[in-house]
Amino acid sequence: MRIILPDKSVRTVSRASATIEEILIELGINPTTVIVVKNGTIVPEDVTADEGDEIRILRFSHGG
Amino acid sequence: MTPGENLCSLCNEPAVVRLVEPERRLCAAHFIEDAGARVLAAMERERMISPGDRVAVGLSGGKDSTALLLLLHRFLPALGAGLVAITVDEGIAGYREETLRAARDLTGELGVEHVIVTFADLFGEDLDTILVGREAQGCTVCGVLRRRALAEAVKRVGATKLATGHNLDDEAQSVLMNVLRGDLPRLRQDTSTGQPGHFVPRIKPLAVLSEKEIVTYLLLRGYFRDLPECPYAGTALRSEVRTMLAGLEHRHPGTMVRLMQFRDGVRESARSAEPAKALSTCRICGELTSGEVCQVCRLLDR
Repeated sequence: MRIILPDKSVRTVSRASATIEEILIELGINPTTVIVVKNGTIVPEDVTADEGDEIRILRFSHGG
Repeated sequence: MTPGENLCSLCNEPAVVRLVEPERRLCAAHFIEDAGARVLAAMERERMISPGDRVAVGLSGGKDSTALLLLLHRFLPALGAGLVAITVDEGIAGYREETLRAARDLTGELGVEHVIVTFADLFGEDLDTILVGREAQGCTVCGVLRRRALAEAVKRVGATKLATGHNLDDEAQSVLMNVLRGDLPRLRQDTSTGQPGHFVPRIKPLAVLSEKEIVTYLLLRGYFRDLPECPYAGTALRSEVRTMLAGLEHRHPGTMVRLMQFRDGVRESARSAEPAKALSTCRICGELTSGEVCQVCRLLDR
């Protein structure tokens, strides 16, 4: 699957189906601090991602 | 959870969020409704708005205040209250220009009256100049001056309430910071009632939504802008508390809400135990202070 990280760098990962939460934790990212867009749609982190999916991780860290 | 199982609890469309208490999954349209309904319920429960109010929204142009203006613009007419946006331009080169533009765009689109006040106008210098040689104190100095600037703007526009975009994360972080500092007076301090002649009541309608929910709301409504981070951001303690609380919230969902319940409990028991300390007026500027000279005059070496 193709993962677009918060700094917009792209990582291609070859792995079996996993939940988005598992993927985030493997990347060292706390799921409460990001929003995940899977194939163009926002999804909850307990949704699974599979080979061929695009996962975009948006971090919101600054005030407002 | 396969995509086929991730469906909105209300309509069976694909869900974009999973929420707890009560446990539910919501599609984009139902999440937008749900978030708005929770903010409206909080405003009604805490009697934040009275008919005839003129509510000033502190609009930085960032995500929280953008969501706040969108929601108040939707709800205030039905509550019989008017709306005006106020923006404080501190004078932070390379940062404030873009958020000011976002604030102007939004108020223009919604047709909301918009007033901008500047540190240069109110205090004689912009923040960048005030902070020369003490940049590390940026957030502290700015916080004190910004509160005064907002109070001044509220007077200028004749508002009866000041609404700010503090979200659940901000508020829970503040509770924990006050505990870690051992600052009981600040933990008890309740600005929602105001001080006649000095401060109008301050309301925080977004304190029931997490930062993540607010960003999700803005993304779904097409109002999220990736704006630059303030160059003075990141005071040591808040930054550490933010990371710690985010970890706790992930492992123990509901931690932030329970911190707010703790704060409300402390306020309630303190209210009945002893009267709040009386405030006096600053001998230099005449504004309220707990000492002889207020923080603003001390910071500006008046």
